[in-house]
Amino acid sequence: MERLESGGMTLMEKLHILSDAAKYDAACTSSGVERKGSGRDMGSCAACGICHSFSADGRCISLLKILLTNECVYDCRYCINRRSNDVRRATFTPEEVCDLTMQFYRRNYIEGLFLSSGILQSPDYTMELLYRTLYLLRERYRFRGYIHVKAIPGADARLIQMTGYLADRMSVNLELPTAEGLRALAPGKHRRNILTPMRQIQNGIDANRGELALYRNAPRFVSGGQSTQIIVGATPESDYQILNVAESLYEKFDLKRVFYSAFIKVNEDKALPALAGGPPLLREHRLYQADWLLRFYGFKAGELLDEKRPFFNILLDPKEDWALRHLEVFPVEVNKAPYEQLLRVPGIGVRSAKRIVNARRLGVLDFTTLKKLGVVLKRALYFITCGGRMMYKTKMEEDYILRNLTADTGKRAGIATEEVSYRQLSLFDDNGLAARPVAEDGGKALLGEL
Amino acid sequence: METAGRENNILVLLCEDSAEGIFTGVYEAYALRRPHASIRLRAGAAEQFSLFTEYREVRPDREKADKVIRTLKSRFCEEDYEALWLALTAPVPEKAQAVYGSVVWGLSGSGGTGSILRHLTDPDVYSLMTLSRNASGELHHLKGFTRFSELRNGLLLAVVEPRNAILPMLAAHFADRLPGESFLLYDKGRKQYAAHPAGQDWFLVNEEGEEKRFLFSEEESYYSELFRQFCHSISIEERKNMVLQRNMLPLRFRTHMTEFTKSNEK
Ligand code: SF4
Repeated sequence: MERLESGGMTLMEKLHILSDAAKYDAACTSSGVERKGSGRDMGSCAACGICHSFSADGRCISLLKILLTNECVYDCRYCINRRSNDVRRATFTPEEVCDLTMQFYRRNYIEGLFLSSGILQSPDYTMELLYRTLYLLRERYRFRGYIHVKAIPGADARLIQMTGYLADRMSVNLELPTAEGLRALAPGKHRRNILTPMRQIQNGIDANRGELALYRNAPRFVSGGQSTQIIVGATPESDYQILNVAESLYEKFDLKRVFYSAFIKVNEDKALPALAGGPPLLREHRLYQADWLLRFYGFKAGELLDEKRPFFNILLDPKEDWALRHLEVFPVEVNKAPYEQLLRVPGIGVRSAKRIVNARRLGVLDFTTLKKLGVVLKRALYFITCGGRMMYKTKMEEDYILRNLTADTGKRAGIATEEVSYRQLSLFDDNGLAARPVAEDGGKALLGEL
Repeated sequence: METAGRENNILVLLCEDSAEGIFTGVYEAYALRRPHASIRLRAGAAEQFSLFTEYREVRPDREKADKVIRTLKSRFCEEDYEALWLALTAPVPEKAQAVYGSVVWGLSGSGGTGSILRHLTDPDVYSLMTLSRNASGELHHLKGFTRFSELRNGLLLAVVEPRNAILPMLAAHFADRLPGESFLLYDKGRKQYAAHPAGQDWFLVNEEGEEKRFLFSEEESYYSELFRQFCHSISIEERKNMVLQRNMLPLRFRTHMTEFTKSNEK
């Protein structure tokens, strides 16, 4: 069945163009919002998020991720939609977006909508289109599922505010980690313009918390929180710089998530790096691991990297790397060490650390029990004692442990260590308990528990 | 009165493989008033008979099962209570013992307050945790991987083949999410339907006789084709990683998923 839609293009063609153009956005999570069904209207939200499918690149498909339009008045060097590119352009009508969302949702293809957009005419004009689409979807189509929408930098604050009341998550992409990077690759974008709506959304969320405390039925504003994305490898910033930026975004803007997106060279442009080895997926992966350590393991960016060591180790995950450089604090005694200290042991994740703390109240733990509790002994054994004993006789020497930790890595990949590529790493980087399938975004999916 | 010698022997209570059957087994085990360690529960028939072991069949009894359920509901925290039910969906006979042992552990109070699931050093609790985590993992997967297709009459139909008997939990999820839709959720392996008429409560129906055939609406191929297109164009060629895809979405789920099938053959 072929149907001609507005603009002389079929909906199929539009979907092709506008999902293809949206795919570089890393965020596809639907987590953080719990909303039961209403008994009448379609849709609900699950706090843990739900993955509906996985694409051929192994990334989760949770939301109908599309652009409203790939027209754009800007000319960001790294972007496929930039004004100077000769690509087919398409624009959805708000009704088309609603129809796709509703029909996909009732078939359980998706958890909700992720709506982004190029800049059509002006930031205000575009933001208003986004608002109208969400308004239609929520009010006329009565959709209660998850919605993630972009806030357009430079758009009227009231438009952003009104849109926020219809969305579960909003994001403004930082894109490039530093102001210099932005200046080099995104003429027309300014760091200040990007941070302004970010701050506004943060304030909106804060104010809403107050309202909700007073009136339980007050409308909710961006209740799933705010996220952003940083492109990795398009500009020369180090991992240390990027991680510092992420840390301050978490601290100063109270972001829910920072996403990292390995740069993919879609345009031939002198200003862009060559990246002979393809997109820097391993860097991206390490950044996600480190991000995890910041958010759930009590690490600070400055502990993981510094000016002198600004890049992550290729062979070790950031926690192993940290542990090897701090052998003076190891081994820790699992029967006594405080929770925070357990968290810092490679091979012990959040869940297994909690289980240890609970289980040891009832008796002394041995290595067999630790295994049951989900500790990856193969990696933890260099860093722990159980009842005063280590599992095997090992030396507390950096080189020795390094060799042992990575020998395994090399062997399982069946390759010389320098050539360990991200793709191979991702095959065995199952460090920790096989996580429950709450993993739903690219980074988390790869990580399991550190 | 039981003699001391017999108490050293193991008594296996064979329960019907259902929640009612197993909870009745728990009731009977308590009613026997012998050391819990000398009783074991098993779902279904005995596999092989061993020496010094007595086998007794337990007939499912609604009233007794309900009494147990009421006790558990009041004495266990929500997390544990849910874990018990999830473990009961597992396709293994050991689940009966896992439930029984965990109930004994929980009601004895020896673990102090809080969730029994923390006490993984107990083999029955450990087994309960493993079984329930397995089932909840599969349930979580299917909340995402289930695909509905629209039939001629506007009804939605989805076919699933879960290892654990989680159809009721899955149906409850979709009934909450799609209250205005009439849908059928079919567990092909167990030949059971969950039916949800729009705006009403859902219920279970066992299939009798031949598997039904269905006719799909005209719109159906249009939207399923759109979704296939979407899944295709959302993937980034430069990041292609089929192994990762397979780890995240095991092949066994794909049989009934729109994006991995060519047309609407069911
Ligand atoms: S504003 Fe957005 S869509 Fe437009 S060129 Fe820049 S990155 Fe691309």
